[in-house]
Amino acid sequence: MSLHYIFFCFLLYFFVFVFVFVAANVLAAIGGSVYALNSGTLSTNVADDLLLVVIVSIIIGGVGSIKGCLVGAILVALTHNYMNGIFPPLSGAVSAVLLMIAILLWCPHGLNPVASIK
Amino acid sequence: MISDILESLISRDKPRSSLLSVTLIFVLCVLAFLPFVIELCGFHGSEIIMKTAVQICVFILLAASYDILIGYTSVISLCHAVFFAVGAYSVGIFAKNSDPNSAVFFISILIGISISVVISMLISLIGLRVKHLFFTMITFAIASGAKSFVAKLSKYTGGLDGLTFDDGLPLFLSEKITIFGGHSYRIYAYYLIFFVTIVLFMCMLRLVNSPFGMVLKAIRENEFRTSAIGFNTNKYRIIAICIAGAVASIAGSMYASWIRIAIPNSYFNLSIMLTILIIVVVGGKGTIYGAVVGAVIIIIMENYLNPALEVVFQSDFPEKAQMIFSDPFSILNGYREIVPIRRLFNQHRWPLYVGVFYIACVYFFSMGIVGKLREWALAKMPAFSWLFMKNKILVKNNISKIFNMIYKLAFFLVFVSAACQIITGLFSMFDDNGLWWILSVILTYLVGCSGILGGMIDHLGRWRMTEE
Repeated sequence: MSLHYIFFCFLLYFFVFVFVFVAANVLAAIGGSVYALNSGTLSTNVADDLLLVVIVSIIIGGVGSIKGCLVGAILVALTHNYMNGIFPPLSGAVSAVLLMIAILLWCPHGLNPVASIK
Repeated sequence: MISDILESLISRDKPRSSLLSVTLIFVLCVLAFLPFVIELCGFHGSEIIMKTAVQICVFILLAASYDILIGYTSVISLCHAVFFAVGAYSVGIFAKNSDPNSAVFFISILIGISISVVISMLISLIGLRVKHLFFTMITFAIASGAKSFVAKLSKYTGGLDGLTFDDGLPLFLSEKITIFGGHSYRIYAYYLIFFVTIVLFMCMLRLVNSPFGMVLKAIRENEFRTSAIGFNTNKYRIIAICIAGAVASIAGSMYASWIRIAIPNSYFNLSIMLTILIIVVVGGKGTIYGAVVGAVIIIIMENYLNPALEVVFQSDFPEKAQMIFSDPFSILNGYREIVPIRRLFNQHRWPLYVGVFYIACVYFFSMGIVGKLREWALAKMPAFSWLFMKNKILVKNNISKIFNMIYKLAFFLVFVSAACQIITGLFSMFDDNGLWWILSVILTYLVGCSGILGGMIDHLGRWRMTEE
């Protein structure tokens, strides 16, 4: 284990890390512009409640699976929007969490489990 | 005889460091006689000092119970603040809908405890089917959902505006007593909180030093082996989460009985959760004493850094610091308007110093302050001699003493400058000086990258050492 080897390792690690992070953020920015086109109004706290929805749809779909994210996002968006008409006290973020709990009781690793979670 | 009783009070889990035991005794004495200390020393702002002391007590409880989860069982939960809020709201709702009555108050605390135990049982039953990061994400989702649920049930909880219940609490909690003919204090309310903190703290010490605590530590070290020995690890995890939830709910009840208001933002907020986490990390994971040290330092900093900086900003020190840029012999001469050093001492910059303190703590006290103090005591080193000593890890790497010091200092400076750049850069966005804005963005990027690089070098170096 020479110093050169370590240096090379960490350069590689660094660039992969940067690439993944940049790619994810670019996709998030595209999502943001689509969201802005749809909603028409903007404020600094648009993304406050969004993190919960994102995390819940990832968990529902299964961590590490893109297909699962699609299914999870559709389910979360449907409950998020239509729960208000069915039972108002459980609308919004609560409905997303309840959906997550229901699905995790059924299949604990998400709908499309890919990564082995330890 | 007396020492035996004292040792059994702290469950024979001694601080194991003289500096630490002196600090703990000092904190205990000051908290125990706080109203008298304020009057004797003639401090100003007795209300704020008392509120800080109550916050310290409450956060000691919260951090110690969170330490049972994160430090002893290595379950990282992000919904600890939910239990805090459950305790506060159960006291609040009962006090709002009843006359002043001690029995109702204590029953509402018990109801808060039982509700939070049930909730933590449900959370652990759902969440513990998966481990680690997954569990953390689930608890985060549950915490966010709970906040919006409470905001939605505005009929009972008052929604986002919250509840105020000045009239419903028992009379002894609002009774004010004048001490030494000076200010008047809510003595009974303060000592209720203080003694509850002491008793629960000793209970938690007892818990982690019992056979039950040994099993929790075994789960932290190696879960597979623990289950192979024959312990039902999930059962132990669920019990630990329930106990931590109950203690957090008691802390919430105590805090609500002091500030007499229950708002979602002051109980459910992620910042409360992060404060608890930082207290545990700064104080020391895996030691209940770490909660005391961390809570005292961080709560005092959050309450008193702003006024302290105000004093500094109104003195002539910031202008003197800025003078470096006007000194004709300095290479920085002429950049006075571009680098606004004096703005760093504005009192609105206090989060900057808090952030620098966190980073410094993580770098220099990787096992927390208590862990470092114990390490010194074990090596029989006098305190603070580490500045002039070779680091054991790096000595093996044949890196000299001076380089080691520079190494540490460099990382420290890198992070300091990163934070400074970000803050001053953001602030000067509102100026007309476009050049400084662009420069600061570029510098922020470069410095941030070098900080990450430095951290990776550091990490790889340590990893290499452990392999050898």
